Amino acid sequence: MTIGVYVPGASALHRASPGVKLIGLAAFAVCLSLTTNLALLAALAVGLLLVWGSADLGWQRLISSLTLLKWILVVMFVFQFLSGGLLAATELMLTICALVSAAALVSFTTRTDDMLETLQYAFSAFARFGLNPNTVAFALVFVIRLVPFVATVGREAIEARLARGGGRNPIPALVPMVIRLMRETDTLSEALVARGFARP
Amino acid sequence: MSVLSKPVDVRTVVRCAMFAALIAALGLLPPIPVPIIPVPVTAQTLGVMLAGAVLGARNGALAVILFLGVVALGFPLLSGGRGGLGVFFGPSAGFLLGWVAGAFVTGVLAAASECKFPRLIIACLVGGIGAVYAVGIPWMAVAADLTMVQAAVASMVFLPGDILKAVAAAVATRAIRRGYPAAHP
Repeated sequence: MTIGVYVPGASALHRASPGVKLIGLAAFAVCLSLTTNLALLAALAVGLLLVWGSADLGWQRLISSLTLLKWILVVMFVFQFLSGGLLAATELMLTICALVSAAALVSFTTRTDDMLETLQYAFSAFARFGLNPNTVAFALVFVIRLVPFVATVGREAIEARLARGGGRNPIPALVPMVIRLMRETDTLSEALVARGFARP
Repeated sequence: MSVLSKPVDVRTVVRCAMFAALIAALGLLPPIPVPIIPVPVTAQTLGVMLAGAVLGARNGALAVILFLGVVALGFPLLSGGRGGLGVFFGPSAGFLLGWVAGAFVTGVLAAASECKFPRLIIACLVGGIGAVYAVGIPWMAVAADLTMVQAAVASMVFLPGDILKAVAAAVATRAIRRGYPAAHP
């Protein structure tokens, strides 16, 4: 699976187990949210930058994962500046940026398969509540498999509407699209049952 | 654990996966700029409302959870090509978690609507906007250290687009239920 956000690499962070990285991320998030001292925050942020540098991902990825937030950051900064002043606003920006980039760092350095395996392991704790970890893993992988299929059905529904003289508006095409998806769902379920997937 | 008390059968798994994929596919559509509305409208929350209205409360919420799970695994399936764990740590992450509540509430109200059109619109408005904002706005207020009013004001830019989507979801749900009665939860 190569369509995820994972960036291949051989750094220590790439080689660390996903469970360790997830626990580290959670610990980092707790530290960040408990800290209100600017110096301490800056130290945490510098630490994160060092780890980022060691992962050999390039700084462009750090910038682009933060620019996705730019509008919301501008709004937050303005509100916070008006109510709490420059210091509070800077602290907030630093916290949010550090939190988001730390989480992005875990995703950049963890293969989706490994993440799935870890999730499956974590979910085995819920098995006693009737939640089968294999079913969860199957469903997640199935979603990824179905995305291109759904996109194709959608394209065909829009093209069919164009052929009938309709416009390019995707909303009217949504109805035949979903109806066809529901029919395919029934076929897929039967196919799965026929292959012994009776009781997940 | 009431969600898990009923055993999950194959058809349910496939339906939830299919709607999770539908939410993902709707995110691949380019955002539509609408006149007067300041931010481009993405179709993704339309899929959330449809999941609740077509699949029902429990399965709709499960479909959204599955979709968010795939995003968390690192697939860039949120509109704008966002994905990975980063999106769950930002100040607007509450809206994503609010989608689960949104699909559930839409499903509960849509099931009670008896397919009457005004009630379906209300179901999509209350679920797709009310429930989503009820999680998203407090989250934003806490994460960004704003007052609730400030967070609500900042969220208002999305409201016109969300109202359009709720109406579209209600129109589509009625047509889908007529065209495929077996879809009725």
